Amino acid sequence: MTTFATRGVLDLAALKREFPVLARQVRGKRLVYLDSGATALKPLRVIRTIERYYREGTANIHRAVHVLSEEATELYESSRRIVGEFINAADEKEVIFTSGATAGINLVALSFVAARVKEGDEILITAMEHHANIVPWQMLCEKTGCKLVIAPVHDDASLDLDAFKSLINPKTKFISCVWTSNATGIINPVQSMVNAAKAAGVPILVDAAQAVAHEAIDVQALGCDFLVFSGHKLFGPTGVGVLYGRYRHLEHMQPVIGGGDMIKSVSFEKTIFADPPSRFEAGTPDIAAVIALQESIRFVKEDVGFDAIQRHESNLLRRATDALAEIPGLKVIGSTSAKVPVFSMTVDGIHPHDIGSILDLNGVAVRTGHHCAQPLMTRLGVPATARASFSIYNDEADIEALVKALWKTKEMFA
Amino acid sequence: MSQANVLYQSVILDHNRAPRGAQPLLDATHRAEGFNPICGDRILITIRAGEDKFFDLGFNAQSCALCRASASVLVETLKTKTLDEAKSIIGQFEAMLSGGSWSWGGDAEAFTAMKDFPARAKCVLLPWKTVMAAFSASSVDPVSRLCDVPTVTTEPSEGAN
Repeated sequence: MTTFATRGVLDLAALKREFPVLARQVRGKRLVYLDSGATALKPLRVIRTIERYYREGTANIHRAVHVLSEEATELYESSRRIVGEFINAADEKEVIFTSGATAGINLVALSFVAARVKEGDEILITAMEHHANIVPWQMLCEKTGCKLVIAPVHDDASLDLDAFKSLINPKTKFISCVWTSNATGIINPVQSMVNAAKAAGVPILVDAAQAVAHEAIDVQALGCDFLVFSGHKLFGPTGVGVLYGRYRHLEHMQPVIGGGDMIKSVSFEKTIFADPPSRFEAGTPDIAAVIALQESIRFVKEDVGFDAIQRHESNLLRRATDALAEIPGLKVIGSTSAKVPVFSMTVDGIHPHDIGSILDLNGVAVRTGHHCAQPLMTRLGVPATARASFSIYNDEADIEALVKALWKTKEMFA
Repeated sequence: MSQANVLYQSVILDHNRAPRGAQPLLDATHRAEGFNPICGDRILITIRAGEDKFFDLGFNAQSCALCRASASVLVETLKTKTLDEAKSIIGQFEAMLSGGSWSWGGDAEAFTAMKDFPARAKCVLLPWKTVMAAFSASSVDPVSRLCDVPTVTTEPSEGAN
């Protein structure tokens, strides 16, 4: 049973009440939050869970026999189970909690990939990656002498899939690619990309940070070796992310961070590491965030449902695309059909930073800049854009507010 | 006055539309390039200065309106000032952006409103920091290539994507 959707249709008024920050006024105006690509707002059930942990049940996990610790451990591990079900992992032991998608990619680079590359080998990524899926590989290449190969994008910012496939060769030892671009909202043909990697026997990581709030993920059907996402883009807390890895990979991987909770036994002569996933979760994690992550998943799966999310978002995508097309001199970067409702905009003669400020002064929150995707911006020939990213709690009034504020911006610089 | 009109006052919009000194000097004695990695603002400042005095300034900005207007105001403010005065002015201008007083008059006063918009202070400050960078290095050949000139980069800080 879903709380905020009936037969795939959202009850927006009720849904908006679940996000208390939406009641806020910004600079004397109703908050129009169009920056969910940076971080999604948090529903009450997530906020209350964090509060409950600190108010009623603060304890460390996996450490003590007292009731509070047992409760915290049970809640922490139930999050692992729920994440495993959410992405259809074969086993919940394939779910590692990290601090975010970035930490997951770094762990795979430093542990899995570092152990299997040598000078002259290649790692393949795409030209539309977030810096989090570029820099860890550059650092690894620097250390090992392997080469970072970049699959190009077309002029419309979509991936050149043929080029991607043709770049996979016997030297390719690993592929890491984004599912949905944070800068443009373009959804990659990720199944074809994974199939191509598998056909060549090359392990592949999928960065699902921007995809996870928009469509259901099934790692077994997809067939990827690793997948990462961050909780905060899924209406969950900051400070928690997920690395999914196939167990047959995880069990042969060495930990990158050593410490408490990741060992079987420690002596000054020899330490025996714990099995995955604990092996990769040294130290006290963000327990409240991990526990609250399961509530964000319940919110998405049970309270709303991906049917309703996709129906609502495709409507927003269509309406906003049409409304923005009415504004002379405004261009949306990456306007293909396969995308989430993210609009990376430029306006002739007006710098994106000025657009962002004037929208903010009208209560409309957007992101401006290069969106941590400088190479993509360079490829597309724009120094920066103003990005409006929509989510389930946005509606047509938000599109109207955006369009109205964009017109005001144009008038100011006319 | 609406908040948009406080940040983008007509005097600032005017400097953006018709910037003073928006032409690099060919006979510069000092030059530096400033870059703001957050938004991609890029500015080249050229200065013709004597031993202890500014004679002229010129710039080329690929930037937001606030940065360009600030560069234009900078040219007006620093022209004909002594180097010691310029140092004091730049220090006071930076302090003004976070609420300090401003005693030098002119259009620079329009930027007092910046104290309520700290996220944009870096845009406004970039030209002024770049002038300081030009003087922290020794005089350079005015026809030297852009990438050879001293560069000031504001502290990079990226948010989550």
